[in-house]
Amino acid sequence: MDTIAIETRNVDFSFPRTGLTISSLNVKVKKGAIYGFLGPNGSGKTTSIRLMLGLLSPLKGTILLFGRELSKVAPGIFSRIGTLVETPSLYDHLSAFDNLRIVQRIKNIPVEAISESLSLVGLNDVVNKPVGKFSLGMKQRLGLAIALMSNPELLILDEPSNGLDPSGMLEVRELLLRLNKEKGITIMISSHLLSEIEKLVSHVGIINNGALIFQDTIGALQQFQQPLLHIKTNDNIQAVDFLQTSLPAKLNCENIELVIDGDDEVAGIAKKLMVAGYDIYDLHVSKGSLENIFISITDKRQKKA
Amino acid sequence: MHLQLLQNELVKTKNTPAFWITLIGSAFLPMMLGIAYLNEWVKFIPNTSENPWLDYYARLVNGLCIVTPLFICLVVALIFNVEHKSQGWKLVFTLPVSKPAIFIHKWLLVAGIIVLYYLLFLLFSIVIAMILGAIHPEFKFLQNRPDSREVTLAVLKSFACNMGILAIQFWLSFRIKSVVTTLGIGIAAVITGLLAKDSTHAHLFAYVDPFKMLGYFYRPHIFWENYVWVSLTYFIVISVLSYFDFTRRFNG
Repeated sequence: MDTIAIETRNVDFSFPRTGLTISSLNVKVKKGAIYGFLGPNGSGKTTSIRLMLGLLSPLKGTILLFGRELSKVAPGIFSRIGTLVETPSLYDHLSAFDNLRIVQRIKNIPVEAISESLSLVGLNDVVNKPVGKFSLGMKQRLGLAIALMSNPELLILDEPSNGLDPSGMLEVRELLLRLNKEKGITIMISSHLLSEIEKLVSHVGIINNGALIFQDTIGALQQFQQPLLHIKTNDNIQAVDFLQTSLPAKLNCENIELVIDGDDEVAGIAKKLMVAGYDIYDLHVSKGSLENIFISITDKRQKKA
Repeated sequence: MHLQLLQNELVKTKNTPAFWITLIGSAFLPMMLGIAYLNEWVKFIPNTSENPWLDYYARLVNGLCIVTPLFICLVVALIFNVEHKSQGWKLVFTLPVSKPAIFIHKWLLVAGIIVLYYLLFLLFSIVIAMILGAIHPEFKFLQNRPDSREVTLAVLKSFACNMGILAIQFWLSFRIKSVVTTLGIGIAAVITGLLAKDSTHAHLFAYVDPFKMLGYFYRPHIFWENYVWVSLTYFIVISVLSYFDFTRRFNG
């Protein structure tokens, strides 16, 4: 039995006019995983997802869904997949019910599934309201309901929390975790913010300028976390200038921050500041955020490019 | 699956301008002519031995030559605009339905709407003539019957003459996202067709063919005239090309 839900092998793609290129994309999403597909805006996330769904044709390479080549199993394979690509595709002049009914008819699932999925996303009280009158967040929820309706084995969600308020984002996160845990649904979710999905995902792929620059478990990404030293002195502006002569210090609000290799560096830095005549009011070490790792990984690649 | 796809296509037109334009478009000519008959009713009283339906349908078919191409441009653009506006293609193409099936059912919807337009046109034309006959018995609509064979052939011929335009507008409408652009191209081509209708070889331009039917009832006529063949040839060639474009290259 194949254990991979999505696999792209050396996929290349470029748009004729804009020239955005996907080069040698090798994504692997294991069955049962929640795969966070991360990258800054314009890095190629949506293009990659469109390629994975056959909405774009690759110039080179192979795309496999559940171990079988997409071109050979589409469109039948889509009965096992729920999708939400960018903004949800909704017919504004129709009600929420009619929008779901269109998908329900094609996927040949019971009509009851419509109210079940609307309840899942908290829209069961606006079943007959025209979608044109929905807020952005409600539309996003309805898009999720469409993706979830057929009880899919695989969910591909492109920035699903766009337009959702913080509590909505939390609800979606909890819903996806529950679906993954209880029903074993494999989820691929794209975002440009690691902080938004770091509590959700088991695996991470980072894409930048059309190339996959990191792909592993979230645990492996956490290993890149380095300790961050926070210092508060009587004159932070002068002190940061002083430290910058030998260390990568920077001023962040009321603190000086610098990445250190280990706790043993702390005493040396404190001594240096005191000898130079600065009074230290606060000194503590924290773990660098995953967001900083994400930014530093994508920044490094950008500078190289 | 065919029934579900057809039901979906019908649901998508619910509450859209396409639905209302079909209704209004089919009633437009009989209503306008009805108003003209009422305004100058003495002028329209037939001679003793004359069947009033002949003159009535001669006028209506002339109107049909001008209104139908415009109706087709508008309704086809509006039907595809439902998908463009809602970014519906990316949903449609990620459902377990083949592209040929999507193409064929969109075509069936468009063809069905145009057939409905003609049927409603016939219905409204009969109802309005009956009302006119009831208001002014001098019109003698109630004492006579229309030549149903001739009227049916005229309507079928009008449909055949518009099939070339239908195929071209169908292709343009799924390829071009802007409804204004598709409609603009269609209207400009229809106007060009109307202006160029008397030029040599003008019938080779699909947008001229419906206008070749002007004066249909006032002259001897056969069904299979050259321009009907031209329109049907356009229809077959363009439909085949657009089918391959849709199923192999079009991604929404």
